[in-house]
Amino acid sequence: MRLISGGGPRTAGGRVMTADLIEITSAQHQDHESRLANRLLKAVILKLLAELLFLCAATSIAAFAYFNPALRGEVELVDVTRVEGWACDPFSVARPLEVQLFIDNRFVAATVADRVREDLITARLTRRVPFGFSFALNRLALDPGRHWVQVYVVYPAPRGSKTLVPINRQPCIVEIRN
Amino acid sequence: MPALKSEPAAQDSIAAKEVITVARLSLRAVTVLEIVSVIISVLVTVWAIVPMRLNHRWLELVPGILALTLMLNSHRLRGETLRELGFTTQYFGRALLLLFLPMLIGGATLIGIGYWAGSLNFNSRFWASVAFLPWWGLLQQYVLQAFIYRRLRFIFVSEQAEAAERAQRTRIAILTAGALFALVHAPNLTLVAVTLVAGVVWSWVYERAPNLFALGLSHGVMSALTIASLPSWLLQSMSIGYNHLFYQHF
Repeated sequence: MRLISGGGPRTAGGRVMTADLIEITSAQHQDHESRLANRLLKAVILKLLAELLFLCAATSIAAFAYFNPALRGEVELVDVTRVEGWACDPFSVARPLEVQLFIDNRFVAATVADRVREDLITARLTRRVPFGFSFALNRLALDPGRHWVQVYVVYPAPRGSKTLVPINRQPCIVEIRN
Repeated sequence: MPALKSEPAAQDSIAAKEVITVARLSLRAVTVLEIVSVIISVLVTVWAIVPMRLNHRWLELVPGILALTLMLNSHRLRGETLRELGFTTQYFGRALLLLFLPMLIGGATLIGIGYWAGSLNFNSRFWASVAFLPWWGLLQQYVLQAFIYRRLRFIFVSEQAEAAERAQRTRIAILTAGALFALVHAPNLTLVAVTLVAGVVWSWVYERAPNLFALGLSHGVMSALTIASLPSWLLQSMSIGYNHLFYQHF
């Protein structure tokens, strides 16, 4: 393939030979660089795809490790005297979860969700595993007014740390009157 | 007329140069992508993977391994030898000579700051880091010089250009290498400043004496001096990436 010039038959001396040499060399050079660029580009694209896949996988692993989406629970009762509900990890039902009560974004109390809940067994949410919890609020002497109540599951996170996973998406509101 | 006779040959030569330039442009574009890809691997590691604190720490190495594979493949395809990259004893002495003055000035500045701030701490940990850090430095210098700087030089410096233009474009490549080295140390401003200066000096030395062992040694010694000299409020635990932002809250 002639890439440099039209170049018909040339018969005159060394000058023409040099031109032909340049033509062939540059054509080879271009071909080589073009092939090299293509192979490098393929490698870059492959690496980018592998990196993207890895990033997605790592993010998913981290999300599951820190905020186990399988955690189930409910804050069922909030009144001036108590906060009750249930929480469990379906992948580790034998282990009762530690739950913490926060009122107005402040830690108030911790307990273990290990109460037997017959109603949950009846509702076929569980067979025998106890995972109910109850916090008594009357001991806290809350000020009159509205208070935001949230219960978190203390979930073991990577490298020995722990995270708090909220049971309810939104905090519950309890109103204390005089 | 001899001038007319040589005209077709001259035209052929110009055309040949133009074709080479077009081919090089495409290769240059891919070379830019190669550099971006390696920088992205570093940024993904320090801004996303490390902060996730995954259970299996080896997962933090995956982007680096991918980048290393890309770099090794690039060397293989381009036909670059270990000797060309700087893994050789050649230029070792010359590189050390070139490094001597900048290291002396840098070392004196670091020790001066440490003395002034009362934070000099040459304990056994310093000597342990002097033994370990040159290997870590060698790896970083390989990425910075043998890959990034060499690719930047390919992008900026045309061998067909005149000497003055080549020198100017080489300076641009050196500065860009230093800037990229500083970029991956963001947002720790102290490290950004230190690595910008150090990166430029190391690339300048590599341009004159391409020896990675000397540069790795210099990198290790200067890193150990930085750790032993700078006060913690300035060094900020040498954290980079997202962890540095996290560090600022303590």
